Amino acid sequence: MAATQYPQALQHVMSFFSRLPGVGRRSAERLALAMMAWPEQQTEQFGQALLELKNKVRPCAVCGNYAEDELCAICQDPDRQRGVLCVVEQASQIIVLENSGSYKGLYHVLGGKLSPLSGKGPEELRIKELAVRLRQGEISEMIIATSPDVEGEATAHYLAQEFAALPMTITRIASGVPAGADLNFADAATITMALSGRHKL
Amino acid sequence: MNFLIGNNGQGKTNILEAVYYLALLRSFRTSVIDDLCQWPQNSFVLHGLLESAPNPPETLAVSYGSERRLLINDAPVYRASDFINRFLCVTFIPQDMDLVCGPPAQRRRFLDIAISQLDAGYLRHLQAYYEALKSRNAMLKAPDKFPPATIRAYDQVLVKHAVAIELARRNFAVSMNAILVEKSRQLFGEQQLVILKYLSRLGFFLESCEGDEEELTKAYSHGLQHGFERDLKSGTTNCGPHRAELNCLLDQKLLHKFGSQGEMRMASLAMRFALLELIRCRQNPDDVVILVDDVIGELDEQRRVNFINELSKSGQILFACTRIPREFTASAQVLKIRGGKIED
Repeated sequence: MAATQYPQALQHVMSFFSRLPGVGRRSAERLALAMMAWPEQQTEQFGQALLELKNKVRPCAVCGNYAEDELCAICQDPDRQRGVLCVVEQASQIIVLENSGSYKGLYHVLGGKLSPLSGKGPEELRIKELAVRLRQGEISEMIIATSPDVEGEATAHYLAQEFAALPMTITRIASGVPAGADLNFADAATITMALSGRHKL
Repeated sequence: MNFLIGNNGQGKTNILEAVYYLALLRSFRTSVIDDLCQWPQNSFVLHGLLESAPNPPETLAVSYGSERRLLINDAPVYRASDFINRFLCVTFIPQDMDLVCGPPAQRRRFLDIAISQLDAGYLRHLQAYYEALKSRNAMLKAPDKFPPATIRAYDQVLVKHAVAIELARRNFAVSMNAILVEKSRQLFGEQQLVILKYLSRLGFFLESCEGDEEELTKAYSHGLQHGFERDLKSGTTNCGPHRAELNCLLDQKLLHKFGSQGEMRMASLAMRFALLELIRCRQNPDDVVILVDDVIGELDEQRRVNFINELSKSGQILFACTRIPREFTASAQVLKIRGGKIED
């Protein structure tokens, strides 16, 4: 006798869930079964929300941030400093920087980092769009906030040398001991970075 | 001093290997995990009790079945790096000869393992270097997709880690040579001198550069630029620490070219002793366990005496051999090994 399986529709939902990052076969099963117990109205709303996700949210035409219009909220905001641009890998990182409340400039999303081992070159990143923005000449400082690993560092160096000729300052975010953290809990790599990036008081 | 005495194939080396595995989670004999299991099993379990006054005793356990489990004092440990080097292990084994005359990759491995035992940050640079190197080679193979500017960007990361590795290796060679002066006199007896020569293999760019960080960085970048066309043709990076060479010289002669078997053996032992001394300078000297697996066969009588004298200065020694060497005169514990078991 063949092993009993879930009905087709349920399996269909499960296979979608299991495509999500961090969701395995078992978790997908749990999620789908939990949704079976939802009132019908709620499932409908969920379906609607999923449809709207693609219809209403799109990348900002200028910076690549999540946007509901042509431009994202930050690019539209007249109070932002127009002379400073912060380059990040992913749009989700903009929220992190925004939550700090200490940055008032503009952003540019690269959509990843240079990663030769997975075949990602400069063409796959939004570098051409960045060049267009920088050549308009309004930006006086570009802050590169790619991650401090090998690929992120190489991407930072690439951007720095690509745009070295433009009349602006290029800076790199610092890395080291987290603010408010105990030095006791920092790992060796972090301490090394913090020491090499020390500054004079 | 503990002798493990037994005939061939009774399991002497097996015991040494088990101790080594508890220290480093790898074997000196093989890198294939299945080769470590008793045939026809596909799993193994190791237990050890670590006593090192004044610290409280500690139990170490490894089991390897479908997955590896590590326990310290019966509590699970999830990161190998928390388990490795709970005690330090130095080996004198037949394979040590490769330090002098083996393939260069093996000698770099010796450098890398030794330096990371002494300096925890070294391993991080090494990993980052190899990641950048792999990326660079991938770019060299796909020049249409990755213009030279992307390679230059990677070069900056590559050079940063290469210089850190280079400096650490040079310093290591200097410290080793300082110790080798005394060790070679004690081991070779006569006025002979073993020295190590670390060669960056960047030709004229680096050999002349006496190594402050800034100069090295310049020399490396220059070297990469200079070799770029060639790298592009061969699709691989031709210079850097991954091509470096460690030569062993006896009285200015290259040992792997002009040395006898006995001389090469003795030089490899001298290197091990020097490393032992270096490790001891930094840690509690009694924390080192020394594993010896029949390495004195090729030595003449006088050098055997020298070797055993030198060894006797050390802490806990496990010495595997078929019979106690005549040259050994002090008292020692003798464990008879037969059929894979220790007999009383």
